[in-house]
Amino acid sequence: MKITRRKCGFGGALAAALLASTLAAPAVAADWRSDWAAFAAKTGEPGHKAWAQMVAAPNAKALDEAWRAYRGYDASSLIAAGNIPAELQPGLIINKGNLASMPWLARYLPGFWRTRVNNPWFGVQQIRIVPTSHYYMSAQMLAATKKVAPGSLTFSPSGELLGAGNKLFMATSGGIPFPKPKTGLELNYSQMAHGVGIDDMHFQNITMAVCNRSNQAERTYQAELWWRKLGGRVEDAPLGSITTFGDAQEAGAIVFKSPRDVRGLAGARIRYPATTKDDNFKVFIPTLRRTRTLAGTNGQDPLAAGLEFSWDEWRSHWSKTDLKKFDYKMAGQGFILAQPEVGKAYNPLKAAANGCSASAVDLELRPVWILDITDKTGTYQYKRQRLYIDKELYYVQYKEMFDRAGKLLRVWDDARDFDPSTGKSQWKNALVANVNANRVTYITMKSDWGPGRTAMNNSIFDIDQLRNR
Amino acid sequence: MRGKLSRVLLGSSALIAAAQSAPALALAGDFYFGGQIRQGISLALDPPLKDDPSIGPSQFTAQMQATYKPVDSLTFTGDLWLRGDWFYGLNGGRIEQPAIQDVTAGPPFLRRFEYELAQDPAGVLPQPFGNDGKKQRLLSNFDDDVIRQLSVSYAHPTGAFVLSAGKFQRGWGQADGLRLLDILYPQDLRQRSILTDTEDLRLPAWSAALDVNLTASGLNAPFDALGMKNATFEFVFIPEVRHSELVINNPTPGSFYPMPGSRRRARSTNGGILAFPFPVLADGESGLGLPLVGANLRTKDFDNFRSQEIGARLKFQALGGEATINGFYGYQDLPIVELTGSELIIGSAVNNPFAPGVLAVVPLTAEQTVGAVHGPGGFLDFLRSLPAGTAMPGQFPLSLATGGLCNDILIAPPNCSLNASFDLNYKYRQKLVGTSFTRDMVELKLGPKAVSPVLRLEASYEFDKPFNKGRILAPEFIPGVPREEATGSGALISTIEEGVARRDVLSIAVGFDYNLWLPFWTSQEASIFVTTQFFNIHTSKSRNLLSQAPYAFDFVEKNQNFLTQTWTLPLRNETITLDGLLVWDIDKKGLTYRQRVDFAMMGGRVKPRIEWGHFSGRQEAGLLGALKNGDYFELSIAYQF
Repeated sequence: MKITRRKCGFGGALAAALLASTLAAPAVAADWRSDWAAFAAKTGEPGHKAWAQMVAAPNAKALDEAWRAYRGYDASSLIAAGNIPAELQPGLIINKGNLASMPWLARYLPGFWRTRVNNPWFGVQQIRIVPTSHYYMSAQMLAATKKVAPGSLTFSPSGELLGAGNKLFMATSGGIPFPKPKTGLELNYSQMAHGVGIDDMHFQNITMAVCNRSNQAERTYQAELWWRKLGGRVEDAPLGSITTFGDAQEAGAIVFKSPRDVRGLAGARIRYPATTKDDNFKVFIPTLRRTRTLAGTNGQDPLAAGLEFSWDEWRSHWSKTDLKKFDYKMAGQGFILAQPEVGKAYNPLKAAANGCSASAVDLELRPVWILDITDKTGTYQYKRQRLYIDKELYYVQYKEMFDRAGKLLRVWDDARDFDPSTGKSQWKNALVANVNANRVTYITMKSDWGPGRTAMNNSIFDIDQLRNR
Repeated sequence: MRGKLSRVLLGSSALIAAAQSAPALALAGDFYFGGQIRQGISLALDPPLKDDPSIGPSQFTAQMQATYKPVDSLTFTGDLWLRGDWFYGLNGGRIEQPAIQDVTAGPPFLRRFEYELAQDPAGVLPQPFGNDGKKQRLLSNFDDDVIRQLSVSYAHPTGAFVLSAGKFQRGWGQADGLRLLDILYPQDLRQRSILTDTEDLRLPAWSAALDVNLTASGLNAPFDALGMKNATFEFVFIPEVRHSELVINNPTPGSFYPMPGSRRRARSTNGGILAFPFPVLADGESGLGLPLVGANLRTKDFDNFRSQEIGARLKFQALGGEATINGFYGYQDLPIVELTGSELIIGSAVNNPFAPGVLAVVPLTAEQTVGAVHGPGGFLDFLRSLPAGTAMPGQFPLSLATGGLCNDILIAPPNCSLNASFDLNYKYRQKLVGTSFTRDMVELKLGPKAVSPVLRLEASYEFDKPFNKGRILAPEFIPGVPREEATGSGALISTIEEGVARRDVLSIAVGFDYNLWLPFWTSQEASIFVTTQFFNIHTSKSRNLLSQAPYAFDFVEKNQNFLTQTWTLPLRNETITLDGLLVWDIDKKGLTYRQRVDFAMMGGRVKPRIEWGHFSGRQEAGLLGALKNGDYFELSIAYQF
């Protein structure tokens, strides 16, 4: 990965200068849509063709332009100014035969993907670089972001983001609070405000394959999942903040459908942005046929047996912001190769039927900020987490989690189900790999863009009604 | 029987195999089909008569489940299962339990005959009692045993309410191990008693349930005004009342006495080592066993859909937690034992009305039975005179009552016996109110990961709970002569008016759940989930009340205290899970512990398990004392799809 490292000793001035130099250099965007059309024509793959058509839609163009105009940059302009090696072009195929001949690739390609080429554990035969797309959020999110008055935001001593009237921003306001973040805490809140990329999200089906080092599925979970933004809704009715659950930020609910021994297991979790208010976390346990309250402070257990991600890694990063527990530092910026958000057209990871091995993966070059979140308590499961946050989408493109000894333990890479016409996102896949134990949890999602999503109501997050689904 | 069992299992296997060969069925859109086959085999570690360990419960389950959602708001659910136990065929008659008091041993008649738990008896001395467990080999009653769930749910699109109807079960309350509020549905204590999974322990019943989200329905204003946030209301109507299913290992051959004209054969009852043992029959006053006495136990059951139960619960958020207010108006799950009469068997000293040589079976009314036992010169008087040596030939009441047809046991070997007939009456009302509260104690951050414990509180108040009395006064047979006082088994030979009392019972449970991360275990992958609960059950005017008849020497404490503990530890990426459950009956000194080791490294379909169950306690003191010889070590394997 190519990373521009900030020198912390120079303080905020250098950081601001570095960021400003990037943000204030709008370049004429390359014709990335033409790149995609040409690329699709060359590969002949239906997924590529579908994506090229989606991004060429008039609504998509208009929304892309609106966000670019507001931000002052887009991915194309950043890449154009990024001194990217000429060899790193769309269509580049990386395989066992040429990997060693491209030492510069290590600046962009995460070690996990680099070591996957022909690796017996979750190996791929090839990595293909696809054209870089432009990502953005909805027009409503853009409008809300524009309304955030610069300088109106402050932080409490514990790191809570406070808006007008010292109200908790995440419980009351929409929009990206810091579109041009200058500190780690600001960057953290911008990715937090991205949320799941949509006010109401629904996976009709989410499949989680628990894979061992032999690429065998120890078990495969299937579930249905709902997620709802509760504070500062701008896209889906009801707009504003839902106060049914108090000053809450968001709520999630999941019902497991299989395997049989966990079928019916349901959980509902409500997140509060106040550092003093822990999550409201309830589960319905089918073997008890009863609801249990679980500790909202315990986010470090796996979501279900064998999974390589805990509640704190739900949607890549969901641990609660708290300056007493974590230090947030903007560690730099640069570019990274990660899965493209093309899930609406195709799955960029060509996985085997059991989800525990793959033949190929498409990656794209993304401009990112780098956020290091370091544990201050000495007891968190990770000593440090490094988030590569997309400069267009404000979402985590890639994440590395380091164990207490500082050794890389897990990585997260996913592909969003991004709708170019509306700027709304759900998910297509997520890959969580434990590089220490050589285990993978591969998650695929069937996002619901129909009435099942728009008809969502708060009763989903009432565990006693959720259990009946 | 074995043929029927084999056909059923083969049929289940074929169906499951068909499902496997059609993977599209496994999860296609809004249709789900799944199930499991589980087979276990165990060793009975602590047989009642101190025999060597031998094959114990070897239970199997074949289960099929399906869900269909034609539209998002409508869900059809079916869940059928077939359970059985190979124990009775595999054990080969190696396990025996104490049976009826052995009259041949002579005073004090504390030695008991043996009851073979896996084969029919020889029917004659010295081994007159046994049962091949035929009735428990396969739980195959389609309505009562096979249908586990058959229901439809309608969820209103706005989330205002969910209406469910059909056969299903629901759990209330917060307590594990003991049931204070979890009383909507009775318990199935037949196979593994209280060590069964909670879900499998409850017996489903035909029901209707309405869950109303008061906020989504626009009815929340008054509740909000009272500080009850996000209130929901649940109403459950149970038109088919069921009671707990249990087996008493009753060696009395006439326990299932055929009705006149019936071709049904009289049988004893047998549920294996985890069923309730036949109680000691003894006179509490003299300490003497009651020889020649058996018991016909007949269930006084509900007529289908002739009785109903209702329950309602208001759930809301308050004080930083979640609270409920519960009410239930239904029926008791466990029986009151009521004397209905007796049968004097002339010609059999081992209580078998069908034994060769039986001259007559003389029915006695309840009043006549009370008189025969408690009356002046009656059975108890005669028995109590034996140790003192004051019993004289010619005073044996059965001999006197039959004009000599029954031998005088002071002169000749006995040739008569008496089977008291009892109803196990489940038709006593249960009237209960209660409340529960659960709260994530965010103010407390404990352990290396600063995790908060979760507090669970539960309380119930039951009005007029019925109890059998363990001390009674016999009727005044002769004016002016003091009424005979009876304790022990003799107290059960009484009228309902004298032998049954009603008391109010207040029960409280306090528990904590905690995700335990150990500070010295740096590589701990997942937390150890532990729950600890303390129970206090206060019974007003508890003196002389029996905990559960027919166990006549176990009395209710004014304050009975329990402690329960569970823990779950996943290991090796949760491919191995250790799960422990402990229940400690503090006052009766009973204890049970269940340790499970579940393995998940054979793929998601094949799930082996090791399970050890241990019981200890004073004989017949509470449920745990009753099961004190039920220890087992089981290996099981489940295939799920």
